[in-house]
Amino acid sequence: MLLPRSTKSSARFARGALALVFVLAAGAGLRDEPADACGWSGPEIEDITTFDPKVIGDPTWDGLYYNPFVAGFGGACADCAEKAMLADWRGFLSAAVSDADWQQVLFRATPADLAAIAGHLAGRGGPPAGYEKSSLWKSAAARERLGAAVAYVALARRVEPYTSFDPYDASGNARRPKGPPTALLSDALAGQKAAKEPFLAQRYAFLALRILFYRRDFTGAIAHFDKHAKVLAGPSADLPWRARYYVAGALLRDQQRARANLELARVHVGSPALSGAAASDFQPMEEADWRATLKLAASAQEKALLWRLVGIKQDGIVAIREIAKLDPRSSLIALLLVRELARAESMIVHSSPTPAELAAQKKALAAVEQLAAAQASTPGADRPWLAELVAAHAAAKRGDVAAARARLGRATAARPGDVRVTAQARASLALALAVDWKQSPAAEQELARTLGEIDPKFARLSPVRSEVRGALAVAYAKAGKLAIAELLRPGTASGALARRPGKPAWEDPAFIQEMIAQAGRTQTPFERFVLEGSYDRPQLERELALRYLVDGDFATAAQTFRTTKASSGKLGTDPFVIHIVDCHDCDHERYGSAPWTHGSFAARLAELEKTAQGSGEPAAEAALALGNALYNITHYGNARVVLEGTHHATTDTRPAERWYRRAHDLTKNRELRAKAAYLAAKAELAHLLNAAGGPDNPPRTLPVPKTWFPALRKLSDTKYYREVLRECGHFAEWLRNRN
Amino acid sequence: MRAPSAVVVAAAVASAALAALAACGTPARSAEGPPPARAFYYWRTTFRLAPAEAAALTELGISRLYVRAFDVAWSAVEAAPSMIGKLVPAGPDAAARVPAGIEVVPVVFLREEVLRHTAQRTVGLAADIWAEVGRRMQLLGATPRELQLDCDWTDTTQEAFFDLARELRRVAGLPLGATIRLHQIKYRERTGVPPVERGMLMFYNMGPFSADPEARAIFDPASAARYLARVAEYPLPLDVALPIWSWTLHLRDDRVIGLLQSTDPDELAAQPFLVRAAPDRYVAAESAFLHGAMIRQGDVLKIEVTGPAEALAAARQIAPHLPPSPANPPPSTPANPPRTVALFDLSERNLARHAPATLDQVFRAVR
Repeated sequence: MLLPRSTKSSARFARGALALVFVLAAGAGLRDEPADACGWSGPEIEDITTFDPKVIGDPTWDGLYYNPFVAGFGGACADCAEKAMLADWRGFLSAAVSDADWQQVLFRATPADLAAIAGHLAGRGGPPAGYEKSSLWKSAAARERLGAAVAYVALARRVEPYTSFDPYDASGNARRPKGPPTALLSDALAGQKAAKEPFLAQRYAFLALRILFYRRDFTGAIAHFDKHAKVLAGPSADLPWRARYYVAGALLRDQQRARANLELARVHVGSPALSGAAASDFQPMEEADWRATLKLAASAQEKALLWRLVGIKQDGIVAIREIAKLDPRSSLIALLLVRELARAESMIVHSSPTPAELAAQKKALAAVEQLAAAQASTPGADRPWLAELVAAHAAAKRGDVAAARARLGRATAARPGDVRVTAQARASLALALAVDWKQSPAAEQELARTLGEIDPKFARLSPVRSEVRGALAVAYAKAGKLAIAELLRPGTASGALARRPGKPAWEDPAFIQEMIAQAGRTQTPFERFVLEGSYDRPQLERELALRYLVDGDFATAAQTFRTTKASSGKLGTDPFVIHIVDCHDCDHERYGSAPWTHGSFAARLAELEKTAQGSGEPAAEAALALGNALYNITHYGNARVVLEGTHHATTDTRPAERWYRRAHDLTKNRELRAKAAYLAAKAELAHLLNAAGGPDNPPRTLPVPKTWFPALRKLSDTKYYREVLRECGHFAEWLRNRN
Repeated sequence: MRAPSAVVVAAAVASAALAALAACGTPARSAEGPPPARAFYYWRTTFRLAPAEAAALTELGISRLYVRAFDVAWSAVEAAPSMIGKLVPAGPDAAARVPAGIEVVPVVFLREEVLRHTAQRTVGLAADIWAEVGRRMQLLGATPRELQLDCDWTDTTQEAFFDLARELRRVAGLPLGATIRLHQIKYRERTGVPPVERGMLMFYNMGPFSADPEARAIFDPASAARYLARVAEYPLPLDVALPIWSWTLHLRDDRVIGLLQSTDPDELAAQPFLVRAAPDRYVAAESAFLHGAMIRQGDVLKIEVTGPAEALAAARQIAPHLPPSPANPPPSTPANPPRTVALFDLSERNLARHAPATLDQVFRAVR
């Protein structure tokens, strides 16, 4: 008796056998390429393009899903084969048996069941257990046809264990080592010859083709396909394409790449289920084999189809030119135009392109625009409105508003009521306006209106808005309006375009105040657009307060937190705690419920500052606490969270060192002085590390705090000194080397 | 996870280095160690040794072959890891088997995207990987004694990768190695040190692909120098992989648009559609296919050759920075073997450029 696991496995097997699983028969011929050394991940065409490929209007394919760099290229259809097969059988058996009962035979019947079913249909023996009530037996007239069908199923099952070149099946079980035996081929050919119905003859012929293929008799498989082309051609509409796909695989292995590519191109065009896989396997290698493929093509249309596949997989520009030579009105050009536009747009995947990258993209867009313009002006061309739309978009990307407007006008006039075209036209116009930005109320109004009128369902709305904002940010930065530029695209004020006198923008409270003022301007649609998805006022007010804090103006920082809506959250740590050896996460764990917030922290610093400005031990202790706080908010301390997510995160420990120095100089208490000296040494060390390349790039040899280690050494009679000696290897090492 | 602050980390690093010096005196330099094991990487999807390849193994005294078993990629369609490009022997004959006396180390190339998807599912993945490795090795007639993971993990995928490595060690019960990129040495506090027995330092792929005539991506001594400082203190026994391959970059409008891995630079002169524009550059006079790539009229092919001089320079540059190999390794402890020097990769094309005598010099340069 089979174990449950085996039964399942066997059922899967059977399903595979009859569904003629989606086998990449041809693909297996492309092995022994050098293996990939590394992958690449980053924004894809889908994330970047501002042109909606669905404007093409093709319900099955669009520009994006042809992207060969995306897994599932061509839209693999996992259940197409099974569905087509069931439909075929349903047509053949008509009402002779229910779908459920036939599926039981196809997928789940054991070989013994199949033999018993065949016997019972032929009048020998009873039905197998579990099949007593099956509808298989209800029509006496259909028994002969059913018997023939079951015989085919039984043979197909016997073939299935051999139908892979992978030595292991999907479950990891070893396959039979050799190809299908000759007897199976003889049975398939005999079945084909004896079949009374074209349906079964076709299936037997296909089975024989697969047997030859997996016997690695590729020449035989090709000959079989050619000899029995008529038998294989019908009545199933699905099987001929699968047969052609197998023969393409056989041709590849038989070193007949030219014809293999032609067959793959035919499969790509003719079979939606295999289209993606065939495109994936299609691969001209050398110019000679490609020329030979073109020669084999039966017509100019077929040559154009071959070129389109080259365009889809490799170079759309070359393909468009070649197709246009063959037929300037070809319907195969539109998809390639859209793809090449998307490809050109996706050439830049980051926000700071180099001049060389920009120049390359400009050239690529110019090539697309030129081809689209030529297509749009070709008499009788396919979908001239689409070519106008593509050319307009390319013109928009280079900021030619006049050309874009003219072409968009013609495109929308040709497609009244087409919501996708209307939305795309608005998006392209918005881009044109932004790239060629003229700062004026009229321009602001037109841009805001155009963007506002884009259908919210427009699939590219987000990249369009992002690109418009980016282009405007550049324009405003160049015009010196950094606050607007920064609101449009955060980061602009810190970038190369942000030329301003004095301090960098975010280090200047005046700039942050200007940002806050701009964030309050919401009267016009354009002003509101500037603010959309950008900094909000509480965030900016916190930026301002923390700027004051980092600058050492604790009173104003505290006042800003107190008198505005500056966002202030719990810190989850105690920013005044300090150790000989820091541990950021330990402090967060231990002091996670500490009550400190940004606001209360600033207020406490202001109080401490007042005390520290005084004299005596209280001032020294306050100075030490200030040093701890200012050390902790740097990258090195336990409360970097204070400045996290703002523009003021810092590694600068010099302010902390200054307060430690004050504590050291003020106190008469040698323990406190030792503590201040050591903590100042830590701050000094961090500063030396900053100078040596920063905390992420520490030098091989740790620098020595030359001011504060010697100062600490003078306090060797203190308890704190001994603690440091015990815990800090660096100090101990320095001391040893010195002695 | 505890994350000590940067000062403490830096202090710990320096202390460890100083302590090591204090305890051991001047580190033994490479010449004092045993000769390293010699190896090649075999990085194709079908296994068949060409006569020149088999001869090189014998002549050079190669004792290990790092064989790429398969890649683990993420299948968006199945929303699951997928093992692709599985190695298969090219036939039943001897050329499709690993020669006797050569130890096979299976290498699994793990694409980083997998780690981003499978952070919580390392147990099943490790078992699947190990089972597949077993099947691939069985086909080659090899019994692995070590397994190597090749993955360009980063700080964001570090945890998932390390979890997977730990799990794989557990299920395989074999010493595990990992390839180590130069940036993972330099920024090890950020990227972490993998929980494996050995690292294979990839002393190549030093810069981004660039159209710049001076730029070299495979091996560039100046770029390499920037990464060397911390090699000696890396806390894993380090093997080293050196480059012997060459490739052709496909440029358009001064941008790299592709890498023609199957195109040997020496082939370009014979292509009728290419015109030589500089010693290392060809321009396409017309559009044509070349080894599967469509070269458009005006495109430029830039060649980058790693010849014997470059391979030797790489070996000599890294050698003094490698920590010493164990002086007297117990002969039968796979966990602590002497260093391995591996060349990437074994192919007729590369052997045509690197004669056994020059490769012997490369091997001898590293101890």
